[in-house]
Amino acid sequence: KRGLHLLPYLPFIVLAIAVVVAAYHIRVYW
Amino acid sequence: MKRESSIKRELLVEQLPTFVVLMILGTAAAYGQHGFLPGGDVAFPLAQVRVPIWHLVWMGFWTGYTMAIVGEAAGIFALPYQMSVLQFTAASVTPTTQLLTFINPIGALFGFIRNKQSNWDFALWVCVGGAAGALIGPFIRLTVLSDPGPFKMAVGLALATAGVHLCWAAFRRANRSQGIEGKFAAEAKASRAQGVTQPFAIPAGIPIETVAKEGAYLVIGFWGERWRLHQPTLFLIGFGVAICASALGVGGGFLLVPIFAAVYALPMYVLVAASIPFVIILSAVAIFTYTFIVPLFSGSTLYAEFAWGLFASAGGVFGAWCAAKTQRFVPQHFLKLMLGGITGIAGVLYVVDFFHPLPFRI
Repeated sequence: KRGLHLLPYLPFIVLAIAVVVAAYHIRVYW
Repeated sequence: MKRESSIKRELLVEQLPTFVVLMILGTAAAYGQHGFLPGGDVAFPLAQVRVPIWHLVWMGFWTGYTMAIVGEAAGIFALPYQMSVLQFTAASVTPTTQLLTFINPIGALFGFIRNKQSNWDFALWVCVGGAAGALIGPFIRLTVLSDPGPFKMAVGLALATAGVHLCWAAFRRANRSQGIEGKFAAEAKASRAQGVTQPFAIPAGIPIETVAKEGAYLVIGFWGERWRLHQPTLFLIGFGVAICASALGVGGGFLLVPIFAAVYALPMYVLVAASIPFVIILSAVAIFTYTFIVPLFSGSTLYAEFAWGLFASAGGVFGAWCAAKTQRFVPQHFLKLMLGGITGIAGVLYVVDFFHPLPFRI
């Protein structure tokens, strides 16, 4: 229940994680 | 409480089995197509790149989630992401992304139908127009549009304009006091005043109703608001968008949703009732066209990297379902900002690509 207040911002949180994962992939596989 | 158990049931009975089946199909496709399971250590033979399977599932999830929450399919994000970050630049990237774009919105379709955010009267003529246009588009590409560059740039300019308009509408204070946005803001404020700590959401289970059919007009209603839509115009919008999209070889959602949001001022919670079935139909027709019709003219068949597409679809279906379940918590101006940003960036990239070819396709 504690994380529920983040729900309205979830799309932006998902996008931020996507940027981090992309940076990790570029560092390891390029 | 009933709502929570309904979501749990959807998760356990529909989503989890779908995820497992798609992962098994992806593994079977890898062994069937290549005789081994590619991933982070061994390159995918058609894609010619190493990508861990978890990253493909994550890519499907995040593109599926962020696009389904604004009523679109994953393709518009997934294609440039695969071609740039994952370096899948081989020709097979197109059929592989088509596979993801077809399967992924099915998660959103089921999620929104369970929420009662569906209305087949509204979706019908848009989808009929879409199916007709999608069959014609590839032939226009082969004849009139043999050089699609200038046309693509014109589409880019229109998208960039729509993107700026949507971002402006998201920030415009006057919009926040009227219609669905005004109601959302007022009820959220009242909820906070009563000391409720949970975030406000549009109440679960409110249907998108057919209020009336008046000759060629259809009146739909949602959460106390009403919209009067001219059905032949809906057909023409679906038809026109599908011709443009299939002639360019892209999905139609990124053109249809801005038209509904910017021109018709339909809230994101309502337009998904037509846009999600529309993108599924368009993708199905595109797969049929590129598998059976285009080879008749080009003489060669292009195969998808099936395992890649199915692993991404496993994440994509789940991401789109999560979007359907959480969309009512996200205020309309956030959704407009997301849609405006995505549409504007896609439009600018189309225009830039015309003058300076990009290292990836969009």
